[in-house]
Amino acid sequence: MLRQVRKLRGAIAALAVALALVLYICPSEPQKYASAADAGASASAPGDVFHASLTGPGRIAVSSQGEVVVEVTARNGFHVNDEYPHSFRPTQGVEGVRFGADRFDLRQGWERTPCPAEPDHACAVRTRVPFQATAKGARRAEGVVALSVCNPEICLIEKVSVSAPIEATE
Amino acid sequence: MQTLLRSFLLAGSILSLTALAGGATVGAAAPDFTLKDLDGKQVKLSDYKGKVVVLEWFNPGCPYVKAAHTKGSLKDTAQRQTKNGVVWLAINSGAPGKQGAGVDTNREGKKTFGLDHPVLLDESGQAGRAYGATNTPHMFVIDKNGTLVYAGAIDNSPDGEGASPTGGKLINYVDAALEDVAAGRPVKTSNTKAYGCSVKYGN
Repeated sequence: MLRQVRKLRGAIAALAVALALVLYICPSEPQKYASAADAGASASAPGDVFHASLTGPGRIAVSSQGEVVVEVTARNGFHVNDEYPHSFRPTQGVEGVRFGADRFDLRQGWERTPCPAEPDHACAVRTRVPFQATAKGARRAEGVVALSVCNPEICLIEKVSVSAPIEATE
Repeated sequence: MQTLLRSFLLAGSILSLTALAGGATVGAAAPDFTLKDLDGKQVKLSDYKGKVVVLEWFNPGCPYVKAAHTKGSLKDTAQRQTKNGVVWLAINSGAPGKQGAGVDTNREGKKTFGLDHPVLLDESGQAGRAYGATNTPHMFVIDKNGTLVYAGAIDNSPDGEGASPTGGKLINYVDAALEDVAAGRPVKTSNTKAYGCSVKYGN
């Protein structure tokens, strides 16, 4: 009887995990996970298999060149999919913040942190993306990160909105 | 008798090893197969000799397949090409229980993506391994003589959507191969590296 209860519990747990995985197979349209008030606003998948964030330099002098850092982290058995063209598309026309391109290939010069259990795979990648502060005041760098993470069974492709506060001073 | 048995066993071993190694070769005869479609009807590749055939390795649960069929280079491609007399067959080599496997799931996928062409189930993975299909999507073009003339990716944009073409210009490799075949010239780009989800073979 006890064995049967244990079996049933295991089956229910496996079904719950399978259902959670199925829900996140579909690539999604960009979703706003973070509010504009959050510093270094980032986005995570419910179920927490990936996390994408944008971190700014905080303060920067007007007209000077700065960098934001795009980071993608894979969790819970997933790793960053090296074969996918991860990209950051900044929101253009944002007052006070100018990026030099419509799209940045995040694989160019990215720093990879290997997964502890699978050093051939990366569990985190970080890329520096240049921008220019063009007007004084509190601004936000915004954009969409296209990313992919995989585990041995499935891959996910997602697009998430990220943003970071920029304080441009004289 | 023993010699015959030994020869038989040797031949069988060679065939098995070949099957394990997998990988059809561009320029050589495309491996024949007989698979069932979603209605249980048998479909044999050699029945299409005399026609140009495109094989598309398929998994309705794979995000690359979804992207390609909804936004990328597979959107409407089969419908366009079948109007030109091309035979287009989707093949799912996923083992039972794996992502995207099973009649109902593929029937749903066929409906979602608006596919008019057959989806064949290769649950044993035998056809997939014979072709060396590694990803979904993974594309193969076979000419009228039954020769494999293209094997590889659907295009040069490994995001599946066509939004990140390598080199800046989107190239639909299957369209390009079919154009070369129709013009009677050698396929210019006959081999590329497929991208996408791994084919969900059984263990």
